[in-house]
Amino acid sequence: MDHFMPNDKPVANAFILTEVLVSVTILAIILGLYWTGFNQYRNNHSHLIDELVTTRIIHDAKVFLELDMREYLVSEAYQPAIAFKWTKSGLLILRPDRSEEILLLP
Amino acid sequence: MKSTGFSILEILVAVMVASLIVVISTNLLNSIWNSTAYANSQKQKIKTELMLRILRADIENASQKRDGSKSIEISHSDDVIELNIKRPSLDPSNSGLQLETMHWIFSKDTLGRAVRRNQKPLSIYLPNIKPEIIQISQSVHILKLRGENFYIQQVIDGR
Repeated sequence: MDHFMPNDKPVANAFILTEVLVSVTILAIILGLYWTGFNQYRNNHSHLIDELVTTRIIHDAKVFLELDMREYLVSEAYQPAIAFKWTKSGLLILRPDRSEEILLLP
Repeated sequence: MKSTGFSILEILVAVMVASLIVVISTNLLNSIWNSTAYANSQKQKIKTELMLRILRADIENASQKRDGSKSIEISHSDDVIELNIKRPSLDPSNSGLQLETMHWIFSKDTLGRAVRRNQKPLSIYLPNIKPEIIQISQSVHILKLRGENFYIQQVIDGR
C-alpha cells in the first residue's frame, strides 16, 4: 500500500516559479499598455490645452495692444504656458512648445 | 531526523521578494493616483477653456447698444459674477432672428451658461474657485478665475 510522503514533491517549486514568471510578464504587459495609453492621452490633452490657451491669450493680447495697456500682459495667468517677447515690429507670442511664433502689430 | 523548517537563506529570499513586491506596488499605486489626479486637472482645464471660448463667441456676437458698445450687463457680489449678454440667435419657431439673453454665472464652484428657461444650462463644476472681475476701461473688463491649481483670466471686451 502506498503512503503519501510530504517530502516527495520536488516538482512543486519549479511549477510555482513558472506561475510567478507568467504572472509578472502579464502584469508587465498590462502596465506597459497602461503607460503607453496614458502618455498618448496626456500628449493629446496637453496639445489641446496649449491650443485653447494660445487662442485665449491672443484674443486678450489684441485688446491690450489696442488699448495700449501692455502691462496687463505681464500676468501670471498667462504663464508659463506661453511667453511674450517685444520686438521693434510688435509683439511676438511664443507657443508653449516654441514651435510657432505669432506676430501682432501694435 | 529531517528538518521541516525553512533555512535562513529561504527566509531571506522570501523577505527580499516580499519587499520588492511591496515597493513596486506602492510606486505603482502612487503613479496611478498621480496620473488620475493629473488627468482630472487636465480635463478641468479643457472644460474651462472651452467654456471661455463659448463666452468669447457670445461677446463677439453680442448686439450693440445705442452708444455703440456691446449689450453686456455685468453684476457681481462677493463670490458670484453674472453676465447677461444679448445676442441674435435663430428662433426655432419661425426660423427668424431673435435677440436672446445668454446668462453667464461664475460662482465659487460653478461656471455656467443658460440660454432659455426650458433648456438645460451648460455648466461645469469647478471646486473652490474665486471669480473676480476688474474694469480696465469703460467697456473692457478682465475676468479672473483662481482655482486650487490654476489661474485663468479672460478679457471681456464690450467695445
